[in-house]
Amino acid sequence: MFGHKTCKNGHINDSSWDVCPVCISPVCGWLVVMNTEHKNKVFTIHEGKNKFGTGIDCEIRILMESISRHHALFISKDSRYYLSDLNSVTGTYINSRQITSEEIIDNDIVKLGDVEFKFKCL
Amino acid sequence: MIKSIKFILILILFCSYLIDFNIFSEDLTKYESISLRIDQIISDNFPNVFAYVSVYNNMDNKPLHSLLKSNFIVYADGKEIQSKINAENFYYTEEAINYSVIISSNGLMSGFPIEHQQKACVSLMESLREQDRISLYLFGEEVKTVFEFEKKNETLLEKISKVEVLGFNPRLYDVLIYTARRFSENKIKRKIIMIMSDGREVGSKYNKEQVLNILSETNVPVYSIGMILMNKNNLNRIASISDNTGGGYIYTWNIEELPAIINILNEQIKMSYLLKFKINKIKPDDQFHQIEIKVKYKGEEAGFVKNFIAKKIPVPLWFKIIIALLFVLIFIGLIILLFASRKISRKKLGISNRKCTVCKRRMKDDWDDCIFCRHLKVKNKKKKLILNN
Repeated sequence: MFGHKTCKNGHINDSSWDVCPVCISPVCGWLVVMNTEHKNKVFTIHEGKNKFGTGIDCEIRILMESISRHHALFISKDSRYYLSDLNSVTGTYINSRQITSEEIIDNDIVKLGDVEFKFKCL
Repeated sequence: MIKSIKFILILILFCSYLIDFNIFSEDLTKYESISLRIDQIISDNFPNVFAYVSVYNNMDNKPLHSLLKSNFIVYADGKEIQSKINAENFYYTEEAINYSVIISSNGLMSGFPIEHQQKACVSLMESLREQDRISLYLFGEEVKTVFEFEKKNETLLEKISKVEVLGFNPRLYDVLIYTARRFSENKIKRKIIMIMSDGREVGSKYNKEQVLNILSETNVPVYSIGMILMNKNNLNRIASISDNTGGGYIYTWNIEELPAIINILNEQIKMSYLLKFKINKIKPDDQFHQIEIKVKYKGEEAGFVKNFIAKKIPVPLWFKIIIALLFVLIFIGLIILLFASRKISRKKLGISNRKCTVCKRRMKDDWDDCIFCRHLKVKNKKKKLILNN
């Protein structure tokens, strides 16, 4: 009654929503964890805005120490993908280069805090 | 033939011997020298029960002072109670007594009898303690209140002296019911009715059964002093009322003895025992049950049986109100908590009050448009589209 409602994929939803807005959006890519104990874990990226972070309002929740509450924003628009840093403490990197906002392409290595991901687009 | 006559004679002689030595009536003689009377049983706080018990010597009607709690045995519905019995001498509890004195003032009482009843009343009033209360009622053709629930004071003497004759027919039952009902308005626990009468009853609206029922409901013992003016045939009437209600009864041929007799009865009342005990084996059911109290003292034994009501203690109104208020507060609190927690969780999800105008679903603040409408076929949207076309 007082907790959060979650969909079967673990996305946190508002109690008034009958469907998960993340799950109904078409998939446009994946982020695969390359290191840490979560190696090979896959995060699905959907069309539109995808917020990365530990916060419950993030579409992609990555519960790791080095990730900020609102760490980065992934936007998919017209088959092009952009990654922006949201003033995170540990920074956002694409191919070992710290960025504030930049386009991202297939097979890029994304680093959020200490966690490295490989981006695969559809 | 002669043998059989001899046998019958011997048998008759033997039977008369048994009757003479009271062998058959052994139980009756057992209680000869002391008597016990349960004046009043208070079971308002059941299973805790209070009983006012008078124990007195049959020879001189004087109360026994030196009894201990170990002298008393209490039976409830025939079973001995297991809890501790606390026996206090009533006199030292300093509890108040509420006396109602009834003077018989019908025509036959005019003159000498009424004067001595007045004297008896004055004598009782003089023996009152600070905390006691006294009421005086008259009965003849009608029932009259002289004064009610008064403390001992000298102005009452004047009122007592002005007692007058009220017609010829004594309405004995009416006055007893009237007095018992008046008691229900007073809060003093220990109540006593003292009636002086020749036992005659003429023209009452109520009968004896109704009187006993009401006296039993109001739980008041009737102490009666029988006056023999013409004959003692009517005295059984007041004697049986006293017996049934747990009050004492003394009769006299000599009306001058009335003040002395009222003092004897009053001494029995004041020097009674207050027994406190707990009856665990009976459930409170608002029904009549029986208490038997026995006393054993120096080889003597006496007992008395009286009914009492195992009262269910009602839940007080203030307690009900508090519980109801608590429930309402908890209910309101839960609703507030529900709304507050939803609001907080929505805030954490980044949802304020923004709603989609088409599908009416709540939208996150950072959404440019409604994701539901973008990816779902919404009925409302269809309707709107149809309307637009």
